[in-house]
Amino acid sequence: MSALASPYADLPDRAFWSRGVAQRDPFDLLALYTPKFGLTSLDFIATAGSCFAQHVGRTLRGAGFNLIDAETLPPLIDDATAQTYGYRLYSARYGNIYTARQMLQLVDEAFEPTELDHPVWQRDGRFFDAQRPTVEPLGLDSADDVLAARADHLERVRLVFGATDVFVFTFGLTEAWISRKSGTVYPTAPGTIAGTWNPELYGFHNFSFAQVLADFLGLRARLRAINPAMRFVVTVSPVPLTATASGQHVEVATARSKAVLRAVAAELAETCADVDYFPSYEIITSQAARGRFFAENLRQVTPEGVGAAMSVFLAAHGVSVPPKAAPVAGYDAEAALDVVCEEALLEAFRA
Amino acid sequence: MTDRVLIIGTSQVGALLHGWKSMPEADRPPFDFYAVPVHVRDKLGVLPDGRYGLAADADIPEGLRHDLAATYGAASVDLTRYRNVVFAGHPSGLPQIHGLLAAAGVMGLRVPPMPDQALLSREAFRDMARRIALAHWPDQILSDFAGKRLAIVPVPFRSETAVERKDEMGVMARMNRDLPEGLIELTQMATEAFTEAYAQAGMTFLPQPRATLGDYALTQSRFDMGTRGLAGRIVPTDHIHMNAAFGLVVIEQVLEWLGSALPG
Repeated sequence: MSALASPYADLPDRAFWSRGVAQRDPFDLLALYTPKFGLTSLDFIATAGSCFAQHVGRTLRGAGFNLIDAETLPPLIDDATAQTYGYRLYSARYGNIYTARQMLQLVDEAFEPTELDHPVWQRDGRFFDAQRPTVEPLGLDSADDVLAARADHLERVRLVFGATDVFVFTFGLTEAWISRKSGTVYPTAPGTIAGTWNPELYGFHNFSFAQVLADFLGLRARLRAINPAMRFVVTVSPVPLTATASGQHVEVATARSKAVLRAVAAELAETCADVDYFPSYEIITSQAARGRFFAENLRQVTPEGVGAAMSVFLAAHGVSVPPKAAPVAGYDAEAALDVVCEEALLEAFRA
Repeated sequence: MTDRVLIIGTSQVGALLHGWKSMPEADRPPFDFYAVPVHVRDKLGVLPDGRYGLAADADIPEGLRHDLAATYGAASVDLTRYRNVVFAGHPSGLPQIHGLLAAAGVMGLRVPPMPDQALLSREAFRDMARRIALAHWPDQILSDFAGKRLAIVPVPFRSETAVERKDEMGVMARMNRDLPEGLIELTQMATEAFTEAYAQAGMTFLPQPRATLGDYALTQSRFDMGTRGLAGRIVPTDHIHMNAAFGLVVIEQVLEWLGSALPG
């Protein structure tokens, strides 16, 4: 054996920081992702997750993939109007799902009789679905209307996952608000969009690595019981927390949250043949990007960043894109920032 | 400024024109009619001389200016003569509500026709109706007619006879007939939303009179028989252009809107 031999000797450029990152054109991203399995236009794809997941759905739909929409509105309703009411964001109108626990809870609720705590929240005499408070911005007339709408929605969720070949899920947060009594998890803190903050009823929870992993594995088991061939693509939202209730500095809390989610995604991808990881988090937060993929508030991802990330995804799955992963043709850069993100509403509650 | 009323629009003006002509001359309200085919409607605008009409260099079918002059008496309109203007046949968006309802349900009133079609809350339906209304009304027209009282007569809902058609219009009409659940109530709800939306924009929406609608929120078949074109010829029914009898009902509605604005 030569004295110069090393396990690094024959590795490609992408294995080395200097050539893979420091000297790389920030838009030369294609080497960052090699899919574990391919997507085709014959696959029925469902999407869910934090608000960044809306970009995934929009891009896949725009690229001609077979994205499931179980709550279809006719084309005469424009996207902005549809999205105001939660349509055309995901495969059903479940709104943003920031935690793996909430995703699991939704699938459980859809397929088994489950009673959630405090399912209806109120604001100004109007009634809201506590699990998706933004999909009816004006609220509904009564709690009964909310429950009837939810029953219909759950039927659509069953339709979605009964038909799904590939489920794309974007992990968003580890922090959540839960019912102290039952552990029911909510997508927003009570009192922000609707509902009333009552510390005796609701508590803060910051999910651990073990909990997030267990929740996703539980979700995967439930879904593969419906379709044993179902495959998963997981991503981690690069969007930092708007606010934290953890007591830590928001930057530290963001790092903790993203580290947990990223580690869970790695664990899943490394141990489950049916789970692939797409590195949107790395693409957006890369040092090579020198921050250019974040807007001035250092939180929101720019259209350029979204375009770069999604172009890598499409290129890897055989949709031709210009070299160096510039935004894809037909990608609506202006719309890229136009995502519905209730988490951002927390900013309004700043003291 | 005179007390004459300008009825301006597309071929839909025909029903009002022939309804008006069917009235005894002494009873005719002081209406002037100005109509262009729907495909050149977007070429209308304020001309350099301040009048309203088709630009001299507009690429329009041969003979159209002549037809305009025959209907109105001139190829362009002196807007300063009118305080009250009625738009007839400008797409209001209201017929699209039936398109929405053909592809969606509304909670408690109508189930979606297909399992994967949306079930809208009543609030979402009302809001979508308002947005559809406003999306149909170009700011340019509001600007061209600034300072005038404006009313809108929508394109009528397709007639009951359309259910016999083999094309898309027939499919939609049969959907009204075969899935009538909640249609009347939802049409009424949408009409109220349109009225509210147009009022916010400073216009009055004159909804299709209830007396002209049949059981399935389609226009009664008696109103699409013997329809005349603008030039007076009887034309084969296309299920969306109505006859003089329909025009008379709408004229009553317009007169009600004008109220004390009319002389005498």
